[in-house]
Amino acid sequence: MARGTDWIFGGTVLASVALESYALAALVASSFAPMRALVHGSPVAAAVVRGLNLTALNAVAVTLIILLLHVVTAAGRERDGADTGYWLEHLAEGLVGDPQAARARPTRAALEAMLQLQDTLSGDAGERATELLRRSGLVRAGALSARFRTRFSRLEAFEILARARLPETLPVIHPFLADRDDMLRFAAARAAARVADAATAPDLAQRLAGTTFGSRAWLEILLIARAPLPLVRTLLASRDPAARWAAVEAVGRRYLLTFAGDVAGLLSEDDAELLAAALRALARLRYPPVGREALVLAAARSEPDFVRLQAVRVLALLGGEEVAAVLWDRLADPSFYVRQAAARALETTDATLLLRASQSHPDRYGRAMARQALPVAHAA
Amino acid sequence: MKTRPRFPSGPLGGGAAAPSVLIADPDVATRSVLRIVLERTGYRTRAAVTAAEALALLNDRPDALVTELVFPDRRGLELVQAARQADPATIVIVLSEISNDLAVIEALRAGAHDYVRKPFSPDELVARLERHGSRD
Repeated sequence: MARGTDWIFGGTVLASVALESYALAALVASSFAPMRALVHGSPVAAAVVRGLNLTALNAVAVTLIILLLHVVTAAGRERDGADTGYWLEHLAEGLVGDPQAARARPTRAALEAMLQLQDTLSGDAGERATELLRRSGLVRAGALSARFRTRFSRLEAFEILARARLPETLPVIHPFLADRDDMLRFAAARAAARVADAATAPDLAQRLAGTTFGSRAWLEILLIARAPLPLVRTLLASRDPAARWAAVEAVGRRYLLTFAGDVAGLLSEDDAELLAAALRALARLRYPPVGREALVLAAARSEPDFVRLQAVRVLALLGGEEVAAVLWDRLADPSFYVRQAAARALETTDATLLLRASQSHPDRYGRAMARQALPVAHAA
Repeated sequence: MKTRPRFPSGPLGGGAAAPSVLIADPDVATRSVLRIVLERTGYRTRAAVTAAEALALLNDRPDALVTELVFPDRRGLELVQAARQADPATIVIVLSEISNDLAVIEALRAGAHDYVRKPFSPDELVARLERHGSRD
């Protein structure tokens, strides 16, 4: 069904074309006689008038083409939606009711419906949806080969493969993991990461080991990976700083406690970005780096401020006299965020000291921050 | 307040009129699956695409509401609260793509009886609905 905005847009364009045509007609009618007199005997003036007429006709034609395209696109969208809706009803009936009904013709709408149902269902019905997708053959290499002709169609095919999550389609993606086109290579890696399950993820990790991406691209791949452990393990051992940073960041964001020890081993790193990522991951995992307390204490006094911030957050997991002393100092940190983290760390490790800081810390900003953290401590 | 035709032994049990379920979800696949599975189990269903549409359908006092939390027009939590205010006996199950703990806690505090994360098992959802419906 066409949206309300479609009708408003169509009506506006139609009104514009009508007004434009009316204005042009009036202009031509009023200037026809003078123009005829002007053109008579003057080839330059005749050319100018012909040019003006041609431009006006072009403007009207282009406007009409835009309007026509819009109507065709809206109709196509409506038809696609109706087709997908039909297949959704038909296939859902088969998946949760009569299995005989779950048969799909190899059309784009049927594929879209199957992918939507696969995204929606889990349990037995989800397995039946996956099996239906598998049986349909729509995502097999042969069926997809037609989609791999242009860059755009390849990107579209990767998206379909990623949504289908059928490990047997990985061989279709593998050749693109080494593509020279950065965007295609990244799209292929994203798709493969979403498709690869526990059995196929180690192979994918090996294939991706020699690939180069930026740190954010690596992180995105790791965050959407269906079975991230092999790839995280591989990237943690990589020499590429971007890959290592992303792996460490992913450990924290995906709560991969398996790698907490490996991440704690990075606390002696000189690279500030990597050190901050390691500290952030440990704080997220709530994993106290026992035996490496001195490194965290040193980081809490180091530059730049984002390292101090993450180190102070890890100190909240440790406690002890030395930690309390450093947190007391950090209440006077030039960075607001470090002072805030220090107050929150004291709240969990030494509420009495936090109370004392709120009354007698030598730095007025430190006292203020401690006072702000106090009500929370008292409520706890 | 109306007398609730509870789900004494499943929706078809007891010979009472089939309980009605309002399905509120912008996702067409979810609506299709829920409608089919609930009607096969013996429920009457009505579906709403937007929260505003669902709020209007709450006037019909459905026995149960299965709702998403994410709508294009407003928060699903408002729908949960409105359903419980309109009739405290209405069974409210949130079926959402949001999987974080905070969303679950907020939904339960707003009055939802249960929270099911997407992707979901239709059989499990029906079982939860029946369990809550057979209480009281």
